[in-house]
Amino acid sequence: MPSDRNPGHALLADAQIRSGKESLPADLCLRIHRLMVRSRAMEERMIKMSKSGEGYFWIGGPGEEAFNTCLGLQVKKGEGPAYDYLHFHYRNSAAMIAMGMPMIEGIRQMAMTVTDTHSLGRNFAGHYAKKEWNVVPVTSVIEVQYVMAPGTAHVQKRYGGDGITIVCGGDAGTAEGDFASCLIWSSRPGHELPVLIVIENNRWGISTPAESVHAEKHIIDRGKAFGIEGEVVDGNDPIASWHAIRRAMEYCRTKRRPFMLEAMVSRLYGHSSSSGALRVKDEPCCIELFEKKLLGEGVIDQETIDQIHEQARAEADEALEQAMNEPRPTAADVYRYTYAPSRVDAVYPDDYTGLPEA
Amino acid sequence: MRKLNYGKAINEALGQAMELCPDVIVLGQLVDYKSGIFGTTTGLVDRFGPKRVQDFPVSESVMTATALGASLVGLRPVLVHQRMDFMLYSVDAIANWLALWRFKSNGQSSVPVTIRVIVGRGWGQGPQHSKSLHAWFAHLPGLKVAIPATAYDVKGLLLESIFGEDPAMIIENRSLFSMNDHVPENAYRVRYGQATIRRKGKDLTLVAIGVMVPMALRVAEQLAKEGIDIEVIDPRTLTPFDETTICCSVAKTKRLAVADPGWYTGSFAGEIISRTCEHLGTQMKAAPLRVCLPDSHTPMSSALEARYYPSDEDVANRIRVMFGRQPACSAA
Repeated sequence: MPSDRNPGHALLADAQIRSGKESLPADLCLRIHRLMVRSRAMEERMIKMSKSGEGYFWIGGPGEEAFNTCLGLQVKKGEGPAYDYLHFHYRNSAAMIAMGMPMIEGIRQMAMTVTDTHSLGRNFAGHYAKKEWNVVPVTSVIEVQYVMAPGTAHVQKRYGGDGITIVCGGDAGTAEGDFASCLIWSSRPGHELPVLIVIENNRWGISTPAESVHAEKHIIDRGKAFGIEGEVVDGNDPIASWHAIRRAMEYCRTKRRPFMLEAMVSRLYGHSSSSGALRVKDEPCCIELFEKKLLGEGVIDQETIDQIHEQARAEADEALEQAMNEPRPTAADVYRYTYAPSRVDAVYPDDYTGLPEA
Repeated sequence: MRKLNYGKAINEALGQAMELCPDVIVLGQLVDYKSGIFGTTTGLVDRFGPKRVQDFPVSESVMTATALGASLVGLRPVLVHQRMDFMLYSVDAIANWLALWRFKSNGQSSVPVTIRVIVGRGWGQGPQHSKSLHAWFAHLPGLKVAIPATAYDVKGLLLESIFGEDPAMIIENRSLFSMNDHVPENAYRVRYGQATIRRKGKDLTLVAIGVMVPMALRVAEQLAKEGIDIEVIDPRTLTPFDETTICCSVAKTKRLAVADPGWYTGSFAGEIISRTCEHLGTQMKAAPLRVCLPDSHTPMSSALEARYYPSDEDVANRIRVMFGRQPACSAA
């Protein structure tokens, strides 16, 4: 797998790329850039699969790579309450790539192969589930993840440590009551919970424009009623996103309270393959914007950028080729993982019960 | 032989589960209230403290989904929904999440959440305190559904659910809470998917679900005096469902009736009849019979309620007709 770094490009060790008053080291910016390009290549390959018949339904997050890459890179990754719990939505592929997910895992899910470790080829693209990273199964029904988040955060607060719960969704879903319930339950006086409430605001709800739904200026404004602090960030700017996520995570980790982070992002291929998944031209592309900045700062040249794109596309093509040669689920898989085996049976085959290790 | 009523058997099961395992918590509106939920949670907060016995304000959806979240981090929550009608607020968490979790996580994790849900009957419960939607929930793969009819069964099934790895729903009919049964003091198991024969007979298999079991036994005793020997079977759990015990009985009796406390259309009784006929349809001596609730909502009026719920006599008469006999005249 190609490295996320650009070893061939000479950089000053202390070079910084600025965005407004904030900056990031150049080598981190180049790492973020490569991850963004790889995520986009995976999504664009999956869109083609939806059109060619190699896959079926596609939904994903092209246009959200800047924010999601910075999110994924800063997650405290691991299993159990000491680590961050991730209640993603279906546009968070770039966060998974940034966390280290091989591109082929997304491609396998899209190709519906039995080798798909997230869903055995039985769920939509972008519907990840990875227990060893605390990535809980992604929902198609929007926003319900916001009421599960207080559950994991509740135990994390009891457990101690600095693990937090990160819940992501779109702006449209915040119209559901579950979003309000999340604000209430994460901010109860004396029982505040370490939940980072992320809204990735692409200003659309399938085909409903946000301005026809939201009377509030920002969605985080709703948090004020509950004493929940928040920030709005340009989600197309990775430098601004990095620092906003860093501040928000630090707040939740140390204060053990909720925080709302609203990232203004683009939606570059419409809602899903159901709406055609055609490239939108009138919204800003975070990769193009970032490349312009990196070129302007002189830390990369166009030839290297072209190579990175080419390598990413080749990686996606290779992943597709491999996935298409892998087996599909069979009729015998229909019933798999419907019920769990009883741990009690193995230890107490007779009438006594209780957990073996309790 | 120690006798305990249904409500106290639940209370004992919860207390024993919490003693056996510190991960067991009880959540629900007023679970920490002095009187408990119809006595079923009485005293638990005093024994185990408010961290393990938690009141929950009216937000059923959040309660169920929060329990799911907590179960992901190792707890074994027991939820108490005081009415199935109110629990419907959390159907998304049940149908799209709890039941689906094992499947959706690709077998990586499971959610051992036990949902106790109570169905009201009598005393003017009306249309929104009385729904018994066991057929709905039995329709969901991944969710185990029990509908215990006795104090013995509710204790064993509750413990089995709490210490199992799957989400499970225990459907409790409020009118059973005062009924006594032999209940051993130890923490024992009643397994899912194992029906029990409540009364042996040779002329008719009468499958009775949940609250219909005591009625079926009374009807069987009544009709035995008229020469109809009824075998009464209590399936105890609907998912998984013990088809074998019922088919073995029908293979012997050649007749099947089902008493179901749910609506007629889409009833679980229909499922039982269908499954049995798939195996034994050509051997039946009479068309199967199902006794269900009418396809309408529960009236609050006690006079109408008496007509709405099938009486012992209604069931007995329909069985008499099945055997080519005249129905007895109603005393009313």
